[in-house]
Amino acid sequence: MPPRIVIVDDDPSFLATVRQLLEAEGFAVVGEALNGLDGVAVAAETAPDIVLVDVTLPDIDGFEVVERLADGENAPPAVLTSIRSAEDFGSLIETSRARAFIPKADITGQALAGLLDERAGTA
Amino acid sequence: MSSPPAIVSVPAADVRSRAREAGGARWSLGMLGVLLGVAVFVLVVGDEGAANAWASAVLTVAIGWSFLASGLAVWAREEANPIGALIAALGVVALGGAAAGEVGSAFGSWLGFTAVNAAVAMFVHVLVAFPTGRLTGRTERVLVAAAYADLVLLAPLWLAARGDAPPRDGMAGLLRPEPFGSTLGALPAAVAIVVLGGLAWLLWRRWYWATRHTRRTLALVLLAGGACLGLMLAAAVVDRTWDAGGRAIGWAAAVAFCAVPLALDAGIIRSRLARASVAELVRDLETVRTPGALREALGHALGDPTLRLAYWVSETSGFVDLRGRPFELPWEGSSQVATMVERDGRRVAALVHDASLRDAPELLEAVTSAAGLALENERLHAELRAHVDDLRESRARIVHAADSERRRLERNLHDGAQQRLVAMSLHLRLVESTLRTEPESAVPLVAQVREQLTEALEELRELARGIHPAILSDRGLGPALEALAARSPTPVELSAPTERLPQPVEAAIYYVVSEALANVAKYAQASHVTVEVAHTNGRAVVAIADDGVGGADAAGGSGLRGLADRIAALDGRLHVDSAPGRGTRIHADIPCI
Repeated sequence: MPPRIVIVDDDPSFLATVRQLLEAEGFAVVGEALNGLDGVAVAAETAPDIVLVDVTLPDIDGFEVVERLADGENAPPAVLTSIRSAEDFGSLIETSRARAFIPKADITGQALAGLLDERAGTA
Repeated sequence: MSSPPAIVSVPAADVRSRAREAGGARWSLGMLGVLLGVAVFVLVVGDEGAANAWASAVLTVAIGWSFLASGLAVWAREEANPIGALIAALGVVALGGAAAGEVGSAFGSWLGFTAVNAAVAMFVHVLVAFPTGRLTGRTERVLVAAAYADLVLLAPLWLAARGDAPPRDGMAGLLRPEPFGSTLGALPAAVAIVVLGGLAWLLWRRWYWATRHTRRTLALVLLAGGACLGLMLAAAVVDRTWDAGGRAIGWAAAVAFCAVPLALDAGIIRSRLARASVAELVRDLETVRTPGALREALGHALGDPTLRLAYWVSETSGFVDLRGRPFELPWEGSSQVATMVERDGRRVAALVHDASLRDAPELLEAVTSAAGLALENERLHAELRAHVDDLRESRARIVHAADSERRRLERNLHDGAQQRLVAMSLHLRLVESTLRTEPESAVPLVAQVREQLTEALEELRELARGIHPAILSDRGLGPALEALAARSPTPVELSAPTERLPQPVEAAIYYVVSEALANVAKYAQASHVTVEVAHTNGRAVVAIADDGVGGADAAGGSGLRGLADRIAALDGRLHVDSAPGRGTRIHADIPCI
């Protein structure tokens, strides 16, 4: 069974590209959202294995989305992403409850799958 | 025949002879008053039947002479003001009346009665006409005419018609003109009461509407005059029922009467003090060193502690206070007015003072001409402060503009080129995995990446041009402006110098034109723009005009404001004229140093 993922990003062309890329690498994209609140709702509905969240969103930001996801039941691991690099956010990423941060340019199915394996290993 | 000259000058000899005539008249009136006073004294004291003869004589003469003396003093000081002659004449007529009343003949009694009544009517006249000596408005004229008609004509005729003898009670006659006395309730008394009521109302109204400065002039005179008229009325009323009480109030009225000329004198002294204050000001100005001291000195000289000074800054065509902050002159109709101060035909400052000082134009003129140089010095100080404030503000705006520009650049890079590069990276990864599985489907993906690369390059170019146009530094203003014109959606007619200008000037002009053309494209709805740049006499002049809707806001819009700051930093000026419906004209003038 392919790993199920939800992608939250306000740029539709980016969403389309990432979907193409991840599907080519064996993921099932079960939900997409263009803003943070929709993202939280879609994740609750679809109960994915992992959620990929852009930091910059039009309503609540990616950090807030991660918090809300983590507060929910059966919280899926969240991965933050951004055009900017991790250093640009200081300690925000470390202190957040996100599983990891992947710069947008480095997103691959392999990297995400690695995080899932890590989770399976710790479980 | 030649036409008569527009200005008639009076030969100095005429002025002198007129002054001599007036001096002669004063001397004659004074002598007459002195003689009549002596006569009253002799007649009253010599009449053994009169009660309190000495006191009565002294008071009567004191009243007469004090009016005479203060009247003559006012007359001598202000020949154009008829009130001095009126006051002096009042004293003489009162003394003449008192003297005639003491002679003992029937004719003398009638003459005395009428003259004393005339003096009371003149007193009403003085109160109404103070301080200018002129009656203004119908109410004042009717009131004074009614006083004379009632006291001088109606009262004697009324008594004569009834067959009564004129009352003869010495000074009391002066204080209690007969209409209030024996004929109370009759027509002359009724008219007199109406006149007094009218006078009270007039004086109250004058006091009510008077500005602070005028009140100071009026206060003592109205107080003393009002008090003795009130006491006269009270004496007349009380006298009907209680003789001793009436007499006592009559004495009080006599003392109040003596106070009126003193009050007039005080008014004169006050205006003399105002003159002296100019001399004092000139002395004070020597020691004016600290900011604000000039305002105090001028306020003191003008007797107006609320005085404010506003200094003219010709560059902005506006007034500022001593600290260089913009100063709004008072509106027409407010309690303060502004008097302009000019030196050598140039505006220097405005004195914002109590509106009542308009009544003293000579004082204002004397004070402003005495303080002209000191005001000019403070104006320079204020102008400097205004400049410093302007510089501080524009410096802050420039720093702020630079910060905003950095933010804008970061956002543009983030939203534009960076986004595209990330997308390309993801696409290349996709190409990589596709090549492994189904190589032919990689072809459209590669085309997509190439497209994204072209877009990213274009965005980076645009961004670089926004940071600094390379064509401007490489080829100069002409080609750079041509490039701007070529990109403008609105047709541009351009003329620019071919020679190179100093680099900061070229950059400033480039950004003025760039911002102006961007505004035209965004807001103006224009069909045509002309851009003219000229380099003459060491100055670069830019004129941009469109035929659009106008209404651009030079002060509010951050774009134009930023350009104005940039140009001001080069000691240049930017002017925007953009009346709604009449297109926008931008004019910049920069020295090429």
